[in-house]
Formats: sequence, structure tokens, C-alpha cells
Amino acid sequence: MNDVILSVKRLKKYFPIRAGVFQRTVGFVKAVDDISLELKRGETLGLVGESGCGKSTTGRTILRLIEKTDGEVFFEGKDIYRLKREELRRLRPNMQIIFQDPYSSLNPRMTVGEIIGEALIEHKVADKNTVEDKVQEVLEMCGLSLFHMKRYPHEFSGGQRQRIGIARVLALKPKFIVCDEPVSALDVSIQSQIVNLLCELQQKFHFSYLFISHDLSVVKHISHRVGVMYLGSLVELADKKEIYTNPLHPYTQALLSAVPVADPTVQRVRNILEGDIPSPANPPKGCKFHTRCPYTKDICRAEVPEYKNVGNNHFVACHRIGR
Amino acid sequence: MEKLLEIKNLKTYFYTDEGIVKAVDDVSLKINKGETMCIVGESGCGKSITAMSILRLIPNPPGRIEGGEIVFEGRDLLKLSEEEVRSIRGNEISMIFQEPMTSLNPVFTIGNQIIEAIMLHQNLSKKAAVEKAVEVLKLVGIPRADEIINAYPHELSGGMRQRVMIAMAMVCNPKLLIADEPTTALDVTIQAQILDLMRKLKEDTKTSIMLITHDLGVVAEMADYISVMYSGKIVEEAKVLELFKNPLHPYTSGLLASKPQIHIDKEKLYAIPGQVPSSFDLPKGCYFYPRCERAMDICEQCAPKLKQIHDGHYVACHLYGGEENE
Repeated sequence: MNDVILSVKRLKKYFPIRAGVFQRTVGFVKAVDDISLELKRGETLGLVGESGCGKSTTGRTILRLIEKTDGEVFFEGKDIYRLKREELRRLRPNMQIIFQDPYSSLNPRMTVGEIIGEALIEHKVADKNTVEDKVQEVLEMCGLSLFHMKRYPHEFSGGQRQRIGIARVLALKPKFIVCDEPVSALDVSIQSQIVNLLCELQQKFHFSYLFISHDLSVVKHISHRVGVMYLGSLVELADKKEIYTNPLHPYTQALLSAVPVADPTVQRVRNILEGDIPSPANPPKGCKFHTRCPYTKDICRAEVPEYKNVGNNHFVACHRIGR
Repeated sequence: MEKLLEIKNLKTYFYTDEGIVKAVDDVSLKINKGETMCIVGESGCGKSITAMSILRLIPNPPGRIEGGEIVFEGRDLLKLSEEEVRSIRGNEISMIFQEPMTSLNPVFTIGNQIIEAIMLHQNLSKKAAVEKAVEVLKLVGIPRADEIINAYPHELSGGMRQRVMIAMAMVCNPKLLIADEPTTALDVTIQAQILDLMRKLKEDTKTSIMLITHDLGVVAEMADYISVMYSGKIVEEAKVLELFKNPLHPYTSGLLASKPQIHIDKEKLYAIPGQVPSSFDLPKGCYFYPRCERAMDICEQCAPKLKQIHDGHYVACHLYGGEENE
């Protein structure tokens, strides 16, 4: 159970900013800036952060859906960026992604049976004779009915479409799934159905999830470990319990205290952050959080804090910690 | 408590090619002075349409307000002429929307848009209006207000734009502020800033707020009084503490149980089975009947009425007796 399925080392993804008549590169958006993490088999790693902090880009770069700028990604010991096209294709069924928007990630011109079946045939998991049985099997697992196979995506509600997206991924029997905000577009009552489905499937098939979300309550429910991102970098990563009860980084503390609690009797001290997130094209020098941090010192403006283990596999990047 | 606005039996229907959608179906509610009233519900339950009906912003066709009364300080808003409604909109009742980018005009500066509202409603000179605009921008916590006033919406971040929207809504000191999902498009740290600002403004100006949201966390922090809507009807209403402590309607309790909580650990989330029914094909009896775990025979046959169970706690469910609401 405890073997590492995915290991990311110092991953970087910079997008060039081009300007002028000749489209010269005038700078870079550092969407993913030096991220390292590991994921074990059967484990869920939650990745939280505010919009534009690079969580989705991280997920996609790990799957090589977009090319990296620097760093390494090992999936079951193989560096996926060293694989040839054909080798990577053969690996694809093992690493899949569930998207946020169930409206735009399904082809409106294909029936549900075709959408799920296409992946099966493409990756030679099934042939023409067995594909229908396979599709039926996964549809049932995801709480859909057999007659849904002949229908088109527009005939389904948001929650059902998300189930189709999950069924499509499930059909390939992957080992590792990136869930990119899979419940953010759904209503509360539907959200819990999908979260429960993801948990059940994980118990049954020992999937590893990289669960990307901005909703700290959902991440807390589903994850084993949680990483917090700010402007392209991980600022803190630890066991779920540890990070929610003993957050060390000031950003994590502020983020947690900002989450509204659905209980009017809970009175909380809030530390409300001032200002907005700086632009990732022009991030602050030193610690990226120093412009909003209540504890900023001179060293924070000058030096980038080291991302280090402070014991108990609790990683944090802050000058206040461990000095 | 003094009533500021009272909606009685409001019916707003949409006439589409596929049939009639009863977006708001016989909704009654009231907002007291200086109070925050929250409408909670999932997408498509009619919470925004209720708010738009108050300001008579329903596009016609296809929509039409088919009946009911909206009494604001003794006047029925539905009986006023278009001219009279315009003098109320933005002046006595103002509204902020979910997506601040689409509700600000991209080709005018922030200042221009605020000043327009001031000059339209308050007969101030241009110079006085500019001063007032800067003042209100400072009030909502915008730094360098005298520079920002010349900025265009695209130059500002999402949180800043929402602050500008609030500034615009507050500039005429409205008696009622309708906020339709004001923080849904924002990040949590920015959401905390905006909610904090709204609380502060409410205390300072004694403006009543009607807050529309799907986020029970936001409700718990902001509301004095809550109405829960489902498929165009109010299923439960109560004071905030009462509703969270003692939810009566199975939909309300299901909703509360299905939300993962940051301060409580749960093994498994409760999930309300099934989906929200389509507005074209509503069940005959109680609209929640097909998804309800405590459904009885009567629920399939006849729709429950909103009844008072105990002081100020109303629910529309056959599980409870209680006196009928007039």
C-alpha cells in the first residue's frame, strides 16, 4: 500500500509573455514554480489554493498534457518526459483526468456509449464485441442506468454529466487520476453524491487521486494529505489532520480562517488578508507571500524561504519556521 | 421589528416554447429594517428571480409577474409606473450581482459609472458628485480612491470590482441592498474581505440586506433570518440560530448534512438522492417528494402549505402539524 506511484521533482512550467510586432518574449508567467511532491498508491493528495495559483497547470503538467519547462515527473519509476510518443500513449490509460466543467468536457455530438467506448477501443482495453458490456459495467458503477447509453450529453443534468466523466475515466482502470475541481460546478446536494462516489471507487480500486480544488471543506473531507499553493509554489504540505489543526504558514492560516462555517454558533477569530494576489507574471521578490503577510520581516523581502520538512512529514516554506 | 419590504404570494412565470416555467410560485416573505435576510437554494430554485421581481427587472417576454404584491414602505411596487420604479431602483433599493465583470460597463471608467448614478438620483453638481464618488470608494476600502476613479473595470481585480459594485449600490444610501451571490465568483480570502465589508456597512448605515446565496457557510455568518427555497417555493423559514439548530424540512436538514464542514470530521457525507426536478415536469404533490426519505402517501397527492410550527419558524411539510400561515 505504501509504495510511491507518482513522484514530482522540482517541476516548473513557465508560459512566455509575448509582445510587440515581432512577438518577442518579454517575460514569463511562472504558473508552476519549483514544485516537488509524492503520491502513494491508494492515497488522495488535495491541492488547494486560490484562482490563478497554478493548481490546474500543475495537474496538467504532471500528466504531460502540457509540456514542462523544467523538472522531472516519475510515474511508477518512469520519467514520463523521457518517454517516446508511443510509450506515453501506452501509459495514458493508467493516468487520467476528470475535469471541472462537465458541460464542455463531453462531445455534444456523441452518445454516452460512444464517449465511453471510444476510450476503451482507442486504448485496446476492449474490442468491438465486448465494448458494450464494459460500458454498461462502468455506467452502473457510477450510478447511471443502461438506457443512458444511447443518450447525448445535453440530456443530462450537471451531476449526471460529471458521473459520465468519471465513468469514462473509470472504464480505463487507471491507477492515478487528477481530479481538477470535479465538484466545483455542482450544487451542494449533488456535490456530496459525487464526492461519495469518488471515495467509494477509491476504496474499491485503490486509485490515487490528485484532488485539485479551491474548496477547503471538500478537500478536507476527501484527502489524506493536503498541499497549499500560492503563486505557483507549494507553501505547505502535510497530513490532513496536521494541516487543519496546526497550520504553520501564515497563508494557510489565513486561508483556513477565511472559510465560512455553516454553523452560526461558532464564533471565530478571523485574520482577513489585506490586498489581492499579486500577478504571477511579476511575483514579489523573496517570499512571494510577503506583500500580504502580517509577519513580514526584512529577510522575507530578500530571500526565498526554503521548502523543508519540519518533522512528521510536514513541509513548509516560511522564514518564521525552523529558525 | 419594523417591516421594510413584504412580498405576498408572488408569482413570476416564464412562458417558453416548451411550456410554462413557474420560477417563483406563490412566494411570501418579509424583510425587517436593519436585518439581513438570506434566501438559500440550489441553482434554478428561483432565488434570483424573486430578487429581480422586486426591482421589476424580469425580461418580458418571456417572463411575467402573474400575481402577488411587493409592498415596500406602504407602496406596492408592482402597481407603480415604470417611471416611479426607476426612481426607486438604485436609489432606495439597489442590487449587486454575482459577476462584477459583466455588470460593469467596460468602456467607461469606474468614476463615470458611479457619478452617473449619483447625478441621476441626487441632483448634485458634477463636482460634488465626483467628491461623493471618491468618498464612497474610500468607504468600501479601495486604496488610492482618487486614482482608481479614473481606472477602467479591466484594470481591477475581481475583489476590487466587487467593491466598486458595492460602492455603486451604496452611493445613494439605499434602504434595501439586494446582493445576488455577491461572493460566489471570488476566492475565499477575498470573499472574507467582502463579507466583512458588507457587515460593516450594514452596521454603519442600518441598511437592510437581502442576500441570495447557495453557500450555507456564508448564510451562517451573515443572516439574521433565512428562507430556504426549492423549485420555486419556500419550504422553510426561520431565524438563523433556530434553522441551523433545528432544521425541520427534510430538504433543509439534507442540505446541512451534505455539506462537508471544515470544523467537523465526517466518515461519509450524507447525499440527498436524485436530482432537482425539471421545472416543466414537477411532481404533483410536494416537489421534494421524489427525493425525500421521509415521504408519506399524502406527500404524493397534495402539496403542503407553509405553516408556523413555533414562534417564527415556518415549514411546508406534511410531517408537521401547526397552524396555517394566512
